[in-house]
Amino acid sequence: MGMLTLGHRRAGMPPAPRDVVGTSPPRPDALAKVTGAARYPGDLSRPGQLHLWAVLAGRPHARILGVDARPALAHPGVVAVLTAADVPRNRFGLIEDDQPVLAEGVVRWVGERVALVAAETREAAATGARLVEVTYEDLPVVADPATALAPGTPLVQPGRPDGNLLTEVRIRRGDAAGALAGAATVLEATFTTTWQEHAFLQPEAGVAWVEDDGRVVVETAGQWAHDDRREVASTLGLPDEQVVIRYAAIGGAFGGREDLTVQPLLALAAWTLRRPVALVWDRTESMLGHPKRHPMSIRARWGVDGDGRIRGVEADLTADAGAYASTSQEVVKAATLLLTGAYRVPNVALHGRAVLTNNVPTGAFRGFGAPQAQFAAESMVARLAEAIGDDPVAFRQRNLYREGDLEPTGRPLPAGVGALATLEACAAEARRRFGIGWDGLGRVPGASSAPRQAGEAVPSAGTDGIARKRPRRGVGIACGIKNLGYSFGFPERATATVELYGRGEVERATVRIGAADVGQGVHLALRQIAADGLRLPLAAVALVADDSAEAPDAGSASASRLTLVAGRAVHDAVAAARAKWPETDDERVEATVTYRPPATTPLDPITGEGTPNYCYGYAAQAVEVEVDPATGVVRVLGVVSAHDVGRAINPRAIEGQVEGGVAQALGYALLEDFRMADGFVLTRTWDDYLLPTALDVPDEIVPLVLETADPNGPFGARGMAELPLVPFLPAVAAAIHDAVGVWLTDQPFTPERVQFALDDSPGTSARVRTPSPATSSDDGS
Amino acid sequence: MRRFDYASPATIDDALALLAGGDGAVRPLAGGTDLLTLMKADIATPERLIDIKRLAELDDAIALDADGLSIGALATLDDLEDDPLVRQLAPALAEAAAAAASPQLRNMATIGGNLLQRPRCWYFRSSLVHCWLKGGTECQARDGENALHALFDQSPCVAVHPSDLATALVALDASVRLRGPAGERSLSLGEFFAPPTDDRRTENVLAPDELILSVRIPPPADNARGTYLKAMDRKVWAFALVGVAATVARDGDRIGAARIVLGGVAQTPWRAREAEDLLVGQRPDADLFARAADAALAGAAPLADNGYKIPLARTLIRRALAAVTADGAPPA
Amino acid sequence: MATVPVTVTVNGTERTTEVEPRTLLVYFLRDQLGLTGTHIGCQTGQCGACTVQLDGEAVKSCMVLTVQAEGHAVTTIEGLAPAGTLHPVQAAFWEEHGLQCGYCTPGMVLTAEALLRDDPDPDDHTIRHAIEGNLCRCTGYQSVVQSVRVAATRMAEGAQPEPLLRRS
Repeated sequence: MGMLTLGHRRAGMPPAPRDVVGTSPPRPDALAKVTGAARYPGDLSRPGQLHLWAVLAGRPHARILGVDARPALAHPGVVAVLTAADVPRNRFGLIEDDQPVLAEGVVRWVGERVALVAAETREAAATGARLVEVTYEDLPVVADPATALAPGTPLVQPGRPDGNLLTEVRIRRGDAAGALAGAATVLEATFTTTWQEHAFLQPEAGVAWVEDDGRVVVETAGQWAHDDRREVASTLGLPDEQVVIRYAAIGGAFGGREDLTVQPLLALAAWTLRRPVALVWDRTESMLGHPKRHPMSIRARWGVDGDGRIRGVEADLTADAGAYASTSQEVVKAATLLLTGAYRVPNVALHGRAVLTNNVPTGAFRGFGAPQAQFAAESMVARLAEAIGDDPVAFRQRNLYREGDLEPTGRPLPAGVGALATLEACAAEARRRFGIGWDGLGRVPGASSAPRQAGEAVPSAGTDGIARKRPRRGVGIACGIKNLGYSFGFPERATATVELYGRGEVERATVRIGAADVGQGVHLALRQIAADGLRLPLAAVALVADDSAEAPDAGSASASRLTLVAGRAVHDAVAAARAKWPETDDERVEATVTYRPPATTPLDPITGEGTPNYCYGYAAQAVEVEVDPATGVVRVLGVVSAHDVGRAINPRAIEGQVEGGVAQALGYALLEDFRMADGFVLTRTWDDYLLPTALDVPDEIVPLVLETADPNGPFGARGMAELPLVPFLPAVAAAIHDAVGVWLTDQPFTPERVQFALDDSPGTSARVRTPSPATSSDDGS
Repeated sequence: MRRFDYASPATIDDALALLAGGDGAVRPLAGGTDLLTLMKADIATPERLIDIKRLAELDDAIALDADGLSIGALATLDDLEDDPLVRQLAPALAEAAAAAASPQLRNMATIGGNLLQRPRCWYFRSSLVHCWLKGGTECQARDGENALHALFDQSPCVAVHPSDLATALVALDASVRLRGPAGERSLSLGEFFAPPTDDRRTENVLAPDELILSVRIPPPADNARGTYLKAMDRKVWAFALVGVAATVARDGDRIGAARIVLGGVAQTPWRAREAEDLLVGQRPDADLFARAADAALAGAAPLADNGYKIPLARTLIRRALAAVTADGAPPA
Repeated sequence: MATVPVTVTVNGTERTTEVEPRTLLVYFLRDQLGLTGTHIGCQTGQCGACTVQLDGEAVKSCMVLTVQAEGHAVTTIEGLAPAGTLHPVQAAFWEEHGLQCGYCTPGMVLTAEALLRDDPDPDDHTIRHAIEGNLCRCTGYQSVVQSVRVAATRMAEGAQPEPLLRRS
């Protein structure tokens, strides 16, 4: 994308359109994307550049006995081989700088970077990387959290205060044990999830060079140019201002570009070798090289009293952090906080842990702990409703958060609680679309609680084994809550500069804000906000966003926060600039505003008390599935996804987020099975890691957009991009239960898992722990 | 990808001469859709590729004569999916072709190459693992992550044959015509596919200096019908968890002849002869199909994680048999 | 090991060059011809971001050696419409929000255009089947299918490539 330059003058301008906010003009960046002109990081090159190739460990835990670069250096074209000794300050990390740029003495996961080869051609760099001789002494592999916490297990990062326990969080309110002891109905279950790979289409890549003035420029993709700059500068021991991060067109992110990957390698090589450098990862390097969504194991006990109100919840969560911290501390805090979902629960005892292992590190991924936590929470809610003979919507209506309710941390929720409204809108639409569902008080008359049959008439149960194994349909519903914006006292702000130009009237404007458009369309949304505030046509508002030296810090493209925080900064900077305009005869005025939302606080380490968030998003989803009990194959036929967005700045962009989020959630629920064994990644390419195709997603994804204004967001807008990932998994679990009568507790719901749950087949290893009241064990045998 | 030489000979004899003595370091190249993935992953490291797609004597022709349907080795999966003769006379093959890969790959991949594709086992496909099939001493999948692996134990390796077409073609009693330095030979696919041994770590008996010329499918018997069913993790474009090809010829109200072949359960297409024997001479009904399905899987020896394939295979067999014997229904 | 000469017609222009045999078509197009609209996503023939047309048929250019294209015609996204114009399929993707990050878009467009030449009036299932080999991680495919549908309608009404300038 880059800078947009516009030359409109007043004479040729059309009348200013009204209400640019709330419309969906075609995305300006899309034109270059349909013609192939858009330049992504892998498309960049610099004259005289060297090609880089990173040598990855390829083993999960080993001591490095030696690195012999001579064979590589002897290869024609190879210019240099860099190792840990070449890194000025060999540590980086988003929250905690515990990760080396190049491994120092030991490798802790298969994707660890050990050496960096620079060569005149890409082929020479690749060959050189193969020729670097690293001698290892393999160390015992810490392959899972349970092993990691067992006494006597080797330490992944020796010297940490709590061994392999990276972080622990406790949130307590009331008396959970007492409440559960006195509850009328108590259910307990254990849920597991596995890693999820972001699978953004554009693998990590970039170029870097050193300017004549000594600044190191890294042109790449990311989610937060200013923090990339901070981290990269730190690894080189340079002041922040001596590093410039520029973003090319970004080919998706989803949280997977929050952590540095190729950026410090590019900067290191450019700085050390004083030549332009280019580095492009292949898909396997990408699969190994960036953090994944956390695998979690969650044990939950929920109790309700005799009138169907949730009395208490005890829940315990363990997350596999992999070899380095990344954002695990924050993810586990967020997940632990959301173990009770969007429900008012007077007595809670929540416990979360992140554990270091020699697996691939885990970090941010759209939803940031909320999908795993609410897979457990929403499944428990659905099962409780079933256990007490209640309707799943009515049970939720009774127990969902209301305005002013207290969070598990003991403080009132931020204003704008849309839990009930999204649920009711979703249930009504699902009823209309699927012809089955809930009316809010109970099942729709005529909608039997027995599984419906797909296709033709209901086959008679009994004699015909084939008929009894025909696909069955079911519907499920679930709610979701997710913080929008940073949590737990992390500094939250965004700065925007607005420049106005014109003679007499404002004719055009330039907005500067360092917000990353990772594909979600935030650049257009920010321009719409500015254009609306200035009563200018969109084309008269230019945006400068992709250069850390040319635009102020907006914070990251994460936590669904840019529309609210960056949008508000733009909104306020527009207002400030407009206020200045009449006070001067200058043909240019400028205003800079930093917007800071209401403050959050860390949680008390003993009680967990505090104000974790300033804003939440709420969603509800209903899904219809078809389950083939004989093969275990689950198809999603339709989805209704309801979201309270405060105000839709660009409705089509929001629909796109819903549709894309649902597809990603569908992959998570049914297909995407990232596998590791003893620290090795088995799913190294997309041959093995299956992503949803156009035929896997349902024909019908219905986005429902509610607009209850947020008190802080621009025009009342709040974020929503993560929410489609939150209710989906438990909604599918509920739909499968509706169809075939089993509750699945282990994500993803692959055909083999569904089979295992339904059939008492041989080979039922410990992998699947679904308590299976199998309705149908027949397959004719 | 490592460096290699490329040759585009004019005649088959020239091609065979280039392949001769290469001892596997010289490999034929047709569509390249499997070979290139192996080369990129450093699993195959040929020194020279012989482009056979330009050979005038090799073709992609699909023709019918008294001996049945002849399919040139270069016919693409897309050709097979759409060809009216294939759809009419060997619908199981058309279905298998349509169920394989994705449209762009079906435009490139040839029938000959498809029969020769290597297993998708993740240990085999990882350059970090020197498994038995790549010349090592151990099959890591046997006691490792084996949810996608074999139910029938044929060799030290437990990977499964990935080809959908192979499953269908064995059910269609197809044969391949091969040509090597000693001339031409024809093999039934049942003979062509063979589990790897210590001395030959491939899934077929094609010599390194032999080429597949064509595939021949005998004329279908009267009243014969066939189908191919495939269970996948994904809706489309994934390798079969289990594939089932069934051909059944009716003899009045009874089954005159039957072939049932399973894919995704062994290192070669797995012919369920016990099930076939049980079907012949019987009146088709659900009970018979269930007994045949049980017979087909009776000898299965599941590994730790792949037991789910047994009921899956039984279900597909019953559905396939129901489909090809249903009265009035169009040939599946 | 030697390079070999190849002649490939790319976007209507005959190109003769020497390549190493291992040069994948996608690298030839990107590195030698500078046609970076053909994207590399997975390198194993899965994602479809590198889709180009070989003699009018969609293929994955990371799964084709340049030498295999010898004597054939290749169309990339840059050559789909005359310079300075938008093909109706491109216009539909732009206007119908058929993309987010856009990385899959050139491959999607070329696959869709090949489909519409075969089948000018595809139903939704046919469209989905045709693009099953093109992965998109952003849109959930809904807007992609919509874009192809709109393009089909406009082309049936005679839409031609239209000047870019009118649209920018």
